[in-house]
This record gives sequence, C-alpha cells and structure tokens, in this order.
Amino acid sequence: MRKGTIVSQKAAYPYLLITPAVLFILLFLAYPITRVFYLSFQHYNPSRPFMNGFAGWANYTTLFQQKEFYEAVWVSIKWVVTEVFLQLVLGLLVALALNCHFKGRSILRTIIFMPWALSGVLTATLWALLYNEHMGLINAVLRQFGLITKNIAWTGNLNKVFGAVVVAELWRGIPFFAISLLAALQNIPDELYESSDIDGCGRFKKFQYITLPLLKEQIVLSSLLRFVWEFNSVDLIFSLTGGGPAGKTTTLSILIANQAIHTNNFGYGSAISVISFLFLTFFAVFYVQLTRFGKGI
Amino acid sequence: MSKQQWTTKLLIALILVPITLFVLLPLFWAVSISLKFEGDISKLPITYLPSPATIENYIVAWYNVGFSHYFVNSVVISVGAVIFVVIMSIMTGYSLSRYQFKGKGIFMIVLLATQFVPVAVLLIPLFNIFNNLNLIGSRTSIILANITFQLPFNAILMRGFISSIPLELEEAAMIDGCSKTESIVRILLPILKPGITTVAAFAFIGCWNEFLFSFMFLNDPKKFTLPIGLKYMQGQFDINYGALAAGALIAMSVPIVLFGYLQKHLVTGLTSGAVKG
Amino acid sequence: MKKMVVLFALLALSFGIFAQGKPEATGSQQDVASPQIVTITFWDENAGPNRTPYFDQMIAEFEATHPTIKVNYVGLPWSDAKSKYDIAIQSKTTPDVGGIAESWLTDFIIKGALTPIDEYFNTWDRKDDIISGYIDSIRNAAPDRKLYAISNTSNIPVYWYRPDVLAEYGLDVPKSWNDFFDVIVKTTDVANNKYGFSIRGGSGGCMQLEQMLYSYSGVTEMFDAKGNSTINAPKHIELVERLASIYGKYTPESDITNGYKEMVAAFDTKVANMIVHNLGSYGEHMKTLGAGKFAALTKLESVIGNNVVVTNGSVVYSVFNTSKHPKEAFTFASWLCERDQSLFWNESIGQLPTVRSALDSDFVKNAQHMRSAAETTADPNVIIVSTPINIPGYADLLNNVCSRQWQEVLLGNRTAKSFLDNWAQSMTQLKKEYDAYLNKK
Repeated sequence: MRKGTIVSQKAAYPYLLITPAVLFILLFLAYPITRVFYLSFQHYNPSRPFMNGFAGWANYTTLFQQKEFYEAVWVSIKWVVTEVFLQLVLGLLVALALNCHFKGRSILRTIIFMPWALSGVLTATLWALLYNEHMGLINAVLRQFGLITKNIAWTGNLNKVFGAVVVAELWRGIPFFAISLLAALQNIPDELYESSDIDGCGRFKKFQYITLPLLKEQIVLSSLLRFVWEFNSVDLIFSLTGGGPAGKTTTLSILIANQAIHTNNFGYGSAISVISFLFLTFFAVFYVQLTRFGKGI
Repeated sequence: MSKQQWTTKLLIALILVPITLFVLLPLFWAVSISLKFEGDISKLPITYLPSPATIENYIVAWYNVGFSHYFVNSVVISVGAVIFVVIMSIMTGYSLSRYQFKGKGIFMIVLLATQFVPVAVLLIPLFNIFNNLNLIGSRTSIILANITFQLPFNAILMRGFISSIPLELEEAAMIDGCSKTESIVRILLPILKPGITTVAAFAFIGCWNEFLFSFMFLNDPKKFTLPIGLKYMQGQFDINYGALAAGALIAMSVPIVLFGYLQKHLVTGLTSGAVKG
Repeated sequence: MKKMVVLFALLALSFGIFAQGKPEATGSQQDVASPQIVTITFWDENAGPNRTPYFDQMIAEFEATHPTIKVNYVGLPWSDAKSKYDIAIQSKTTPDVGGIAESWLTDFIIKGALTPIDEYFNTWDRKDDIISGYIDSIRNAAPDRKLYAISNTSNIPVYWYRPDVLAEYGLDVPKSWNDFFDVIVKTTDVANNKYGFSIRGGSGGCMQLEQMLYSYSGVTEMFDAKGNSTINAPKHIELVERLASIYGKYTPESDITNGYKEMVAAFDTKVANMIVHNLGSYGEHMKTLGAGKFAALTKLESVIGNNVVVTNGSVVYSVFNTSKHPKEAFTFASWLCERDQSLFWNESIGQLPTVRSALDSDFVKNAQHMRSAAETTADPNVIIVSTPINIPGYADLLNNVCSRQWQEVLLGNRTAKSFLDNWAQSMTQLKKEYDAYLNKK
C-alpha cells in the first residue's frame, strides 16, 4: 500500500467524492461525444429539414472528396509544428535567461509571462490593431523606415497571413513554455552546476550535459501538451482571420467551428469532428503511455 | 566583472530585451489608440502617441457599446463556475490522492484524456443538449460548460497539491478526536490554501477567456461576456477602433491584475502540481 | 456520511443561486407600471455606426407617435447576423420583429420561425402603396404563398464608376459589356496604382458574380425547362474566364480577399475606377468621394443584345412566431414601410423605396443613382430576374462553397468550367430536393 493513502472503512467514500466530477464528464463530455459520432452518420441540416435522416457513410465520402478537408489537415500540421517548435525554442531561451539572478528580474518575469493569462480573442484584437492595413502600427513603422512603400494587408494577404497569425499566437505561447521550463530549471540543484564549475566546464558544456538532460522530461511533456492545445485552439484564428483568406488559416478545428456556427450542415460538421477526435485519441494514447511509464500513478 | 559575467549579462540582455519589447508592443499600441480621438486614428500620417489624448473611447465602450454589461456577465459566469470547480477539484483531488480504489487508474486516464478533446467538436452536441434543457441563451449553460472544461485539469492539479501534504496531519487530528470531515476542513484546507488559490486563479482565467461556447450559446447582447463583446465590435462594417482598443484594455484588466498576484505561485504551483502529474 | 449529504445539498443550493433557469424569451414583456404599454424587441441585421443612428431616430419617432408601444433595439453585425438568427430559431429565442435578408426568407419559413402576416396586411390602410412586385416576390419565397414579410427598400446591382476618370480618358459611359471591359483596360495605370476595376473575390463575392453572369449572357432563366441550373451556360464560363484574365493585371491583386469593406474602400480611395455592387454602398461613396465624383450605371447590354438586371432580394421585416405581440410587431414593421419612413430610410442609405408614392419624391428624382435605378426598373425592355434565393441551401452554397472555388479560379488553381459546373450541379440538386419536398406536401 502506498504511503499516505487511507484504507477506508467506508468503501463508498472515495467514489462519492468523485461522483460530481464523473457526472459532469458523463453528461457534458462523454454523451456529447457519442452524439457527435451518431450525428456524423445522419443528414442533419435545420435549413433543409426535409432532407434529414440516416446518411450512412455519405458525410464521410463527401468529406474525403473535399479539397478543403485536406487543406485544413495540412494547415493544422503546419500550424502545430511551427507553433510548438518556435514556442519551445524561444520559451527555453527566455526561461534560461530568467533563471539567472539580476536586478529587476521579478518585474521582467511578470511582464514577459503576462500574455499567458489573456484570451485568444483579446490577443487577436490587439494584434488586429497592429496589423491593420490603414492605421496599424506595423505598416506605419515599416513605411517610416522606408522598408515598404505600400501598405501590406497582413491579415488579407495570401502569403503573409499565416505568418501574421503565427506571430500573434507566439505572443501567447512563449510565456507558457517559459513558465513551465523555468519551473523545471529551478528544480535543478545548484550543486550540480557548482561541481561542474570545479571540473572547469564552460557554459555551453554545462547546458549540454546538465541542463538539457534534466529538462528533457519537462520539454517532452510540455511540448506534447502544447501540441494538443494548438491543434484544438480556435479562438485566436477565428477572431483574427476567421480561417481565411481562401482557407489559408483554416485548421481542422476552425473548419469544425465554422461548420457549427456558419453553415447549418451539422451532420457533415460532425463527420469532420469525428476524424479530428480520432486523430487526437491516437495521440492521447501515445501521450499516456509516455507519461505512465515515466512515473507511477 | 569577469569576462564570463559580462558575456552572460550580454546574452541575457540579447534574449530578454527583444522579448520584452515584443510583449509590450501590442499593449502600447492598444493604449495609444484607446486614447486617441476617433478622427485621429486613421488620419495620415499615423502618429505613435495620441495628441491630444482623450478618455472618450473608454466612456463609449463602457456605456454605449455595453462593456459594463459584458464585464458584469464575465464576472458572474467566472465566479459562478470557479466556486464549483474549486469545490469539486478538492473532492476529486482528495479522493485520487488519499485513496486507492478500483477504477481509479481508469478514471485518471479519463481525466487526462479529456484534455485531448477538440472543444470545437462539442459545439454542436452541447448546443443540442442545452437546447433541450431550455438553457440556450442563459448564462447557466456557459457556467456548466466552463465547469466541464476546467474541472479535469484542476482536479489533477489539486490532487498534486493534496499529495504533497502529509496524511499524518489528518490522522493526528483524528486521533485527537476529530471526525474525518472535521480533519479535512480544519487541518487540510488551511494548509491547502496556496493550492486552492492556484486552482481558483487558473480556473478563473480559463472561464474569463472562454469564447467559442459563449459566442454560440449567448444571443442577448445584455448577456454577452467580454470576449464576445470584443468579437462583435470587429464584425461590423465600420469599426470604432478607439472604443475597440478601450474595450480590449478593460477586458484585460482583470486577468492582468490576477496574474500579477498569481505570478509568484505560478511557477511553484506548476512544479508541485502538474509536473508530478 | 451525513456531512457528505450536507455538502451535496450546499452544492445544489449554491447552484440555484447562480443558475438562470429558463431565459426570458427575448420577445415581449409587459411593463408592470402601466399594463397597457407593450414592449417589442427588434433585431437589426446590419447594425453599425453608419446605420444604427437612423434606427435610433426612427424608433424615437415611432414611440412618440405610438405611446403604447416601446421598441427594444438590438443590433447584430452583418457578418454574424444569420448565425445569430439560426441559433435563436433553434432555441426559440427569436425577437418579435426583425430585419432579414430576403435570401434567408425561405430558410426561416421552412424552419417554421415566421408568422404569416396576411391578416394584418390586408387590413392595413397603406397596403396598396407598396409596389405589388415586391409583395409578390415575398410571397414567392413561401411554399404556401402566404405573406411572411414586408419591405420598405429595394436594391439593384449597380456598376459604380467615376465620371471624372472617364472624362480624363475621353471615354463614354459603357453601354455594353464589351464597352465595359474596354474602359477597364484603357483606364488602368499600374504605375500610379490605378486600376480599371476591382473584383469582389472575398466574402460575398459570388453574389456580385452571379449578377454579372446573367447580365453578360442575357440568359433570363435561372433553371432550364428540365430543372437544370443555367449557371454554367457557355457565356457564363466565358465571363468568368475574362474576369480571371484581368485579375491582377487590370485589377488589384488584393481583390482576392475583398469583402464588402475592402472593395468599397478600393473604389473610394480611387484605387479602382469601377466596382460592381448595389445601391446600398451609396452612403460610403458619398461620405468619401463626395457628390459628383461617382455615378451609377444600372444596366449593361448583354452579348446577345438584351438587358438583364439580376436582383437577389433586399432586406425585409418579418414577425417571428415566438412573439407574444404580433399585432404590435406588425404595427412597427408596417410603420417602417410607410412613405415618410421609407423615404427617410432610403435617403439615408441610398436605396430605392418600395412605396409607390415615394417614387416621385425629390430624392428619387434628383439623385443620379436613384434616377438611373428608377429608369431601369421601369424600362419595359429591361428584364428583371431574381437569383434562386427561394431554394433552401442556396445561401449556404454561395457563401461557403462557391466563394472558395471562385478564389481558386482567380488564383489559377481551378478552371472556370469546373467552378461553374460544380455550382450548377449543386444548384440543380438543391432544386430537385426542394421540389420533391414541395410535391410531397
């Protein structure tokens, strides 16, 4: 028996404690998910109720024939990989820097970590003001320094919009990694560094042989979590570009959200949802295996 | 200063100065626009600082656009959800931390698995469910949705916090004559305060920022939350940028203040709670 | 164990404090103070700093002349208006009365969201003042031919152009489509950032495109005798190819993402010399370019020599079936359609009144775009055709599928034929399914 656990006389006690949570999860998570699976095999469109009914695989076959589905998958992959990679690297640099002692460290920490607490919509609003073609700061500055002669429509330009959205999300994402990596860095005992000093190790060697290995676990865990989070993230993209233009910023999650909110094609939207969900389930299994073997439950 | 220390300081500055500027840039611009007269905002050439400055945008956002309502609704929904999330996290976390029982492993996996559900997927079915319960359009539906989304992660977090408090303390209290519940309430909870605060703040920020479901389920502008208010202002043909910027700053006031307070606990909270899993 | 029960009870109790229960229907309430005052809720589908003040003014006047009715105004931004209505319909939280686009009418009728107003209309003293064509068009939206809305404004497609630019190049106002393309090419001066035309390639673009197609081809039926959509007629494919070929050369590259806002801005900032829109953007042009600097062209001769003008309906006012005060709701809606209000509203937004007695007003007679619109709609040689807004699924198809494929054509990633064939196929299918449903009823 594990230390710190109770052998309860009332066997029902632990179950009672988790009942509310179980209820919520059953009612508002598990049941809806089964409903999504069910709806994906139905025609369900409130605008054309006369066509509602069993659809079999029709929604799926339509889906797999749509170019926009594959484009959304591609955008999702691009999005997640770019974001996680950039957030990780930059977040790690920031965490390393903030791990050192210097005057004003607290204030700087608060400032740099702060975007983590803000919503996707808010971030989108702030960046929309910067990116605005006519009165945005970015165009104004670029023109002042003669770097461009014509205003750029950052969220309207097919080539620039993806980068623009990536940067906006970075604003919120770097703090996440910075916070969790800093936490892990602070867990590394100073003695390790001190003894390597005695051995005459330089800064980069220290990083390579002490810091990195000890951080590895946290890096992997945070990255995986973030991978999922970015895959699911809708708020920022939805508010900044709505998924456009021409689907350049439409991830799978945005595709689903647009189906639910803008078109009335719920059956079809559910099919996309199922695909998304299955993809993440495989990922979840992978993640749980990894963490489970890392520590005891 | 030694050469090593010099280069260290340089490296730190090289990393932190750009990132600080990066973080502050959107805030600076939003503040600048929020203080400009509406006519000055699009006037060329673009000025970086408002001159003259005015607070009329804040007044317009608060009274005319309705940010006063949005603010109140955000508070009601967030506080309402957080109370339940905290209570249920403690209950669930206690059970997971202190007991071994059949199905516990599966339950923990389920909790973890809920983090992987693409929330957009739930839009349609939850809409149907709440519609059948006649809850669409009410803030209750959002409170329920928020509880569902915030509970799993915070339950796991709380479990971590509780695990780091020795059981012996409660056992000692029970030996002294306290009942089980008394020992929890009188001994455990006070020590758990940092954990409770962390969870409450996490959950609050999560609820405050919730957008997608609020956007779909709330129809009456008087019930809108701040994120919806912001999105609506951008959907119009003619956007009042000054009021939009002012509204954005109003919306971020609470998370920033909360975050400033939370910040110290955040790093330690994550270390003890989440990393151990 | 007992403590557990207490805990649960506490949970349930505090839930009750925060819970809202069934929301008040956003419909009507009775004021407690004086039981005769009725409050109705009105949804404006296109709210914004430009239009809402006019509604504020009209509502104030309405309340002054109708002391027993109070109007609660709710403004929806255009980009979200339909979704908001859809959700309200499903959750039965629709208002008493609201402005809706005519292209949503059939959709809402089929969902059972609207109240037929025939009774109220037939006893309305101003009913004969409304031009019957508009009422017919509204009846056509309903499978049962009942009246589910009334209108106070009408809109037709307009080719906005700049007379000063034409004068500068010594060109006449185009009369045919070939003239039109000619003007575009001749008035383009890329070095000075001036283009002959700006295409609406972004949100809503297929509406304008469809209007251009039939004007170009001279085809007068949306469906042929066999029920197949005519959208992929050979001349339509030709026009799409012509437009794609001038995109980026004689039109700005940013056209690809032009929604309403961007396209109007291109015209108003003098980057594009011509755009295709409708009467509704008059206010924007007036504000930015000023009187005399822009003009409206309302008809272009097709390649087969006739004149086709394509409408896609305008905004109408409907009473929703969740309303507890349909009579008052109709009173407000019909009041908006009376001559004075119709004139005020249309003068403010630059569109055509649907009220006969307003057609000889100074506004209609003197404003250039109004004169042009009135002449064209009254011209017996002009054939007025309506897009198939009455087929459920049409709006969805246009906004979500066609938009995307139109952009692909402009980018060169799809052929015009493939685009229009897909469109035609979907449209034919939608019509077939709808007709089957109607026949079963």
